[in-house]
Amino acid sequence: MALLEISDLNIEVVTGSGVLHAVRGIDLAVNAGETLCIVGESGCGKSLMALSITGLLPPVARCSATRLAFEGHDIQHLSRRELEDLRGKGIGFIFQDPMTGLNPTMTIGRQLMEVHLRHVGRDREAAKTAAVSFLTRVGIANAATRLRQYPHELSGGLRQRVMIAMALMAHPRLIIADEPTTALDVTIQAQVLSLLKSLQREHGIGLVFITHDLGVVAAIADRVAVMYAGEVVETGDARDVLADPRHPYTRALISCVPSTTPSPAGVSVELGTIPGRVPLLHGRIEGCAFAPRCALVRDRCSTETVPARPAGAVEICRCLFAIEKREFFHA
Amino acid sequence: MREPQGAPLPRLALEARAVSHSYPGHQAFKALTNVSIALREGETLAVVGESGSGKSTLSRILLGLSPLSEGRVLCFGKDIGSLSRRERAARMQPVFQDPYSSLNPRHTLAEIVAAPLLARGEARASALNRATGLLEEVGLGSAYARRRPSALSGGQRQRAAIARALIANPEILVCDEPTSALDVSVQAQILNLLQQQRRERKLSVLLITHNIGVVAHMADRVAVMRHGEIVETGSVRDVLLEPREDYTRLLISSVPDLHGGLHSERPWDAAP
Ligand SMILES: Nc1ncnc2c1ncn2[C@@H]1O[C@H](COP(=O)(O)OP(=O)(O)OP(=O)(O)O)[C@@H](O)[C@H]1O
Ligand SMILES: Nc1ncnc2c1ncn2[C@@H]1O[C@H](COP(=O)(O)OP(=O)(O)OP(=O)(O)O)[C@@H](O)[C@H]1O
Ligand code: SF4
Ligand SMILES: [Mg+2]
Ligand SMILES: [Mg+2]
Repeated sequence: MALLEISDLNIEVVTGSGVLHAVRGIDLAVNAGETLCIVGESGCGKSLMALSITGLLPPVARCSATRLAFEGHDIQHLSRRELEDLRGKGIGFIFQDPMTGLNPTMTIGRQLMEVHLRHVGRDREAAKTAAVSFLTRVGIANAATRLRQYPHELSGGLRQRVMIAMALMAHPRLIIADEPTTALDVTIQAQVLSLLKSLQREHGIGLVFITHDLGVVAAIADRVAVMYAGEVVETGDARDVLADPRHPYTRALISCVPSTTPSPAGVSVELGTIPGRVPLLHGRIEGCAFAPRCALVRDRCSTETVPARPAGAVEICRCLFAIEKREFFHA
Repeated sequence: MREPQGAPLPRLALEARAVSHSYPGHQAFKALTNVSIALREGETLAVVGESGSGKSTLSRILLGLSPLSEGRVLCFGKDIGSLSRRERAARMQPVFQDPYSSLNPRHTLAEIVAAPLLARGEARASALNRATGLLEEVGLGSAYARRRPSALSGGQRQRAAIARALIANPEILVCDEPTSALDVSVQAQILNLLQQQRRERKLSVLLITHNIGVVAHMADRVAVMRHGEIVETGSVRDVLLEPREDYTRLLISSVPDLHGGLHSERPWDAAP
């Protein structure tokens, strides 16, 4: 049994100009001790999907799924109270916007200690020790002094690390982290990632990690799901997907990563991009959502329904020509 | 430092001279110590460094948004304090690190992007029109123009902030992590747009980023910060290919490499 199971998740958002079908039929599973990275186009529904798992969607959004289960129990119809109990100790959530998860009027020390007091034990001294210890482990120097600061007195990366420490302090069994290291320099990022991995190995924590950094995916992911326009277009073992992506979108995405080696002076290179724009998700999309931008598009792509099926070493690929594509790419 | 000999020195667009900054509080905290940095006209200068080392503080000081405890900030040779808010806004525009708090929640995207034009008295209709056009260029079609920030994803907000910074054709951009909320394809699109603006009109860019690939691609020079000080400055090739400071070396070697991570042993993959 998977720790987290999601089948046919759909999320609709009511906007001024109609209903937006932001997440369209997503299936995902995460096992205990496993890291699933989610990557994809900005605005493709990653955050909404993550929020829906713990009942944190904004009021304008509604979701439905044939199954949404944590540790085998359906969590779709939990009461607010039950969801609150689940968050924290069951599922730790790290928001993309750190200020959503932090209270601006309380010192971070108080907020961190509250997590301990609520989920771990009633001893205030122990709570304080735990707070200092977790802040130190996410690379924050002078943690004891930092406890007295308010969120607005912290840099972007310090706030993210406080959020991460806060999620870890409750000892959750599943962590959902939405771009948690975007404000961290690479040395601290490496430290935070290896902390997450070692806690994961010790306690069998499941980790859902949303990121735009494909280097981070290569470093931490067991499996990766690539999203485009509200759908998962490719899933599989991270090494397989990164080394031999079968979906044209994944392929194109990887080719947009800038190299860390500077080009010789005076030489300016244009970065590869994916021409065109994501479709608007009002109403139904005929055929493949990526068709208007796909380098390999053929007539069938804009009319036929595209099934999700295995391709090569990849678990699932949503492309009509996934199997043949290899020769195509290497031609 | 390591500069070509004999080349004529370009004008300085923005300069910090021996700037120090302390945040008041129960324990005054010194966020910047004696920082000097110069952004030359038309160049892109990247600032990288440890989280919490004072990069955002420095950017706010360069923009004239934070008072100076010590030192001077000059914008095209003039003391920043002597420029009115309007003059500052005409010459330089910011892209802030946090796209969640930097956009006015009550305004539509078109209004937000048009704000610099409206502030200098342009007609509303034409300002909103140009804003909608620029939103297209950052990949947000006209359907987004009438949405409010709360109806946008993180990366969509960040793109609106970039469009706002570009709309009034400033001479200087001060960008704090402008692409860290973007997927790599949108990031590439935005970086190409910035490069195009540099070629077309001598735009000078101060670029704070954690992304070494972005530095390698965009920057002419780079400054490395740690604990409120600049520890190394030089051309991007010198600093990235032959770093002199241990910290810079550590920084470069910590970049998670898309292919390195695939092939090398990952420390946590070894069974306990
Ligand atoms: N409150 C809202 N009202 C209306 N539309 C929304 C709302 N929140 C999100 N959306 C839209 O839903 C889509 C998915 O948003 P989501 O935040 O999940 O994207 P994302 O994949 O996390 O993107 P990013 O990588 O930029 O954070 C976007 O196109 C966004 O504009
Ligand atoms: N308003 C404030 N009051 C007190 N201290 C502050 C305030 N703002 C920032 N600081 C402190 O100043 C230091 C530098 O912060 P700054 O935001 O400039 O760092 P940064 O280099 O931008 O970091 P990051 O990469 O994490 O964004 C940090 O230790 C931060 O906690
Ligand atoms: S189905 Fe067609 S358009 Fe879609 S990704 Fe595959 S080749 Fe491209
Ligand atoms: Mg998001
Ligand atoms: Mg900062």
